[in-house]
Amino acid sequence: MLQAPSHKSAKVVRLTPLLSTSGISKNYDGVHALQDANFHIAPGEIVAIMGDNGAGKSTFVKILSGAHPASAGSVEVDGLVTSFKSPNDARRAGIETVYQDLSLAEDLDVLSNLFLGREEFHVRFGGLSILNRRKMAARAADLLGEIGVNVPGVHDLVSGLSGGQRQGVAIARAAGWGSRLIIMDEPTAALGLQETAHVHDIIRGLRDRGVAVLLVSHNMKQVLELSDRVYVFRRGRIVCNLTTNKTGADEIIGFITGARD
Amino acid sequence: MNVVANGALARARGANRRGSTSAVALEGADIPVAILGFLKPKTPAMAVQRAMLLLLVVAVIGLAIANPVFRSPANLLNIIQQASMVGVIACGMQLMIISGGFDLSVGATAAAAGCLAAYVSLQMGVPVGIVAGLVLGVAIGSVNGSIISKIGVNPFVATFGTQAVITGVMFAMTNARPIAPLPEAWRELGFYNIGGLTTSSMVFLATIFAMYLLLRFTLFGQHIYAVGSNKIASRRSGVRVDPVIIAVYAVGGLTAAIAGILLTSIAGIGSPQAGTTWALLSIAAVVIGGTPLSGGAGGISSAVIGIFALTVLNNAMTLYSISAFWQPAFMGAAVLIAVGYEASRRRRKA
Repeated sequence: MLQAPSHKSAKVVRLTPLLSTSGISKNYDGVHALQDANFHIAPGEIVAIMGDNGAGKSTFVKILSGAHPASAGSVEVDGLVTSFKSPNDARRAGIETVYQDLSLAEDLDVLSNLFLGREEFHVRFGGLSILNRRKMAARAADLLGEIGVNVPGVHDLVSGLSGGQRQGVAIARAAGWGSRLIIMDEPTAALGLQETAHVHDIIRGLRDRGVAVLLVSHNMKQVLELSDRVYVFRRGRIVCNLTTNKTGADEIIGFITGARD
Repeated sequence: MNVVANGALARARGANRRGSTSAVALEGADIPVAILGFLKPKTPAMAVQRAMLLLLVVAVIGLAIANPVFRSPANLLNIIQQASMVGVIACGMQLMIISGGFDLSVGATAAAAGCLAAYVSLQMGVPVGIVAGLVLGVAIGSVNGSIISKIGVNPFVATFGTQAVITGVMFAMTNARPIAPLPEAWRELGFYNIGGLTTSSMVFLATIFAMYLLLRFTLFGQHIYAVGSNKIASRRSGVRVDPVIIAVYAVGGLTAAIAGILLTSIAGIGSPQAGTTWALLSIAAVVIGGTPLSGGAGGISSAVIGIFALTVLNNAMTLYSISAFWQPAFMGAAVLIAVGYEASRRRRKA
């Protein structure tokens, strides 16, 4: 399953990263969940975050996705300091999150899920705006085709889809709309081998289109196979920033467990 | 329901494209495709609705053949009239149930709005009275919605509480006595009809149509389904969940007030005792019509099928001189069968 990382050498990393953080900290009632996190990611780069439970990964991701504000430090997008007060702020900056629970409305069809919160209209009038389902259906089909997600039809209910198809819909929802950074939380934890391979193809496809992907994963094989770089979190700190093709499972695990520093 | 029906159709078309032998013959024929969609419901709740609709149609045809009184235009108009007030409330209840909640205070809200409209009309005339009643309904609904969304009280407790408060305040202020006599304009409104279709029947039909449009075509309708299906996902997607819930209950309160005002116009009095069974009747109608209480699914067709099933049953029992005491038992059995079937199918699937 492991593929040769042939593309990596040819990658041009731009001078200005898409997103960078410096000195990000987060306290919950005096507990340091995260301290002095310095991080950067460039367009077209797949960066993995690894670490034990409670190491600060999800705190860090929540700050990037706008779900929680940071206690200290700054986030820069395109070199400009920004602060996200809500997921909508992060979304406006082109940052989308694919949650581990996928956050899909199962009773709704694929189309409605893809466009939830960004519907297209015939007439705009607040809550009484008239939906343009035809336009949304056409765009949804295009989007799914572009990302390489196979679902029987955009009018099918999400509750009738397989795990892989649901993951595909969740990724397509994040990837549409010209997003530039997609955060994925354990994207294949619930999937079988074949479906995992397909999701990996989708992630590589996004990377090839210049989208930055931040991968939160416990799966070492997945991280080695997909990522360009790996940040390891331990006890609320980023303990290393490794280039994937210059490291290996042993070194990463050493950093995760604290055998290395 | 709208979303689901579309999906069923699309799937039937999809089967066409794949060229399965049974579907090939239907190529390009929309009506058979629609029938195919009808016979293969997507969810257990849809199956309940299809079964109930079939039962209702069979019952109406059977009664029409067997009983000349039943099929008389006067009786059919009477059925619509009888269905109208709880029917209007059931339309509001449909929205609340799709959003994942329900409202036990609609009966008390209806009585309070009917009484306020009656009281205000004594001094300021019927139109001002009606407006006052409607405003009260929207206000009570907004309070319910705020308690549920902002404070996070579950809908059962929240609306059970407001129901008791409304009833208590209303009884204290009216000494539990009806407000009468009322201006003659009330009865003119209540007994106005066009070809036998009364005011309340017309309001009922208009409410069905308005709710259909709301659920099927508008952003608000779409967000009611989304919130009812997955509140957290909706919030993460940028849906303003709290305002959606408050608006849903405000619309529910409005439909309750409309029903209470219609009752005032027909009874010619403002009665604080009105509407005590309406909350449970309207919830029963929506559930019998095939909408799961879990939220996120269903359509206005559920409320309509359910309310007419209950009303036709009532009407048939009257025509055949069966004691009206049996009616709650039949209704209860229908609710249990609908909910039980849906739950068992859902469990088998999971």
